[in-house]
Amino acid sequence: MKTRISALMDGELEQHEVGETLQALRRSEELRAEWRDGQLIGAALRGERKLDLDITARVMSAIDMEPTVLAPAPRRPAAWQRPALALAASAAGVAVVAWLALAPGGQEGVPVAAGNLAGVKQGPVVAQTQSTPRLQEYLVAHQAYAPSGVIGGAARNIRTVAVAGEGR
Amino acid sequence: MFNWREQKAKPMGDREADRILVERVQSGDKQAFGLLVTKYQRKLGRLISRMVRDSAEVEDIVQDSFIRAYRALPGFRNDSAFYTWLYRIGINTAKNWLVTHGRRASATTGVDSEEAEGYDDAELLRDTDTPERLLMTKQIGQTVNAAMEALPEDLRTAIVLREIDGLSYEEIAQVMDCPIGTVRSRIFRARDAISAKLKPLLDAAPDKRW
Repeated sequence: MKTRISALMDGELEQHEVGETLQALRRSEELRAEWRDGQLIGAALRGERKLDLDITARVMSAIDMEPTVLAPAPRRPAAWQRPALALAASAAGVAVVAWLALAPGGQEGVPVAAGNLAGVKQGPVVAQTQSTPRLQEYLVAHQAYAPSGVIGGAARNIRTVAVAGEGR
Repeated sequence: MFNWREQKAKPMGDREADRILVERVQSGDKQAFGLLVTKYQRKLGRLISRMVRDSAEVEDIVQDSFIRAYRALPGFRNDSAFYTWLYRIGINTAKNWLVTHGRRASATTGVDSEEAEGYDDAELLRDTDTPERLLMTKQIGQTVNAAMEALPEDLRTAIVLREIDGLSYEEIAQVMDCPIGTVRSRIFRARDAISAKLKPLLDAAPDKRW
């Protein structure tokens, strides 16, 4: 195990040895002392100063007071899942575009709630926004940027309601 | 006899080793953070001593930097090397400390980690360390040098190529014309022999266990 710790210091541990070596380091104070001595030897050989500096115990003592760090590991899809996810994403994209392009503009597109709405008094919806000359001017000036064309559904309604609210 | 299987085994690399340690900490292994502290404390100390002269204050700032790094670690995504990220925290911690204490940096506060690494700090640190600390540093250096002198030639060459020249095991194997496994073994044996000489000195020092 000490040979492995020496290799870990040099970033030369082989992948299959990593887990077991880190577990051993976690459990054994003696092995952590090997790591400490190895780092000190390297620093001395490189002619570094402050060889007496060792605040690991102090830092670890302070960190004991801290809540344990827990970062959610990024969940990566398995290799076989990637093509399936790409296909699903493409299909969803096509469906959204098709819906936007083909959706009728009127109320008939939402029949499910029609029964429940039977008793509801129908009437004009009055926008609550306070009309000001400045707002009116802004809307007129930005008319050219309002969405138009095939993607007419929701965006067109928003524009119409805003202008209608202002006009009435 | 050359071992091809051994040659093809893929080592992790230093940055990858740090990445694995960081992920261990992120999954709740506090001891793994201790390994990172041990590994980088002197480098960080050297960096901060460019900005703050007093060695006791440098230690406090290094400690604070590591604690801040630990708190920030859930957000670290390994986009940069761990040590680059850590050094940035160290510099910011030192700058904040200087502002709080109404001090000016002993070197330029515009220092970045790469610049700071390149400075020769020998004279500066000699001025600020206590006699006891200087003595300890000197004794460690002398013990390591004496142990190196006593090493067999092949062990000494292997560890010098690794620690001083920064060669990978594969490069050392090419230089020494031997398998990577032999390099690994020689470096370990060199460290083990030097460590045995250091033990009495380190055991006499204040308790560093964690």
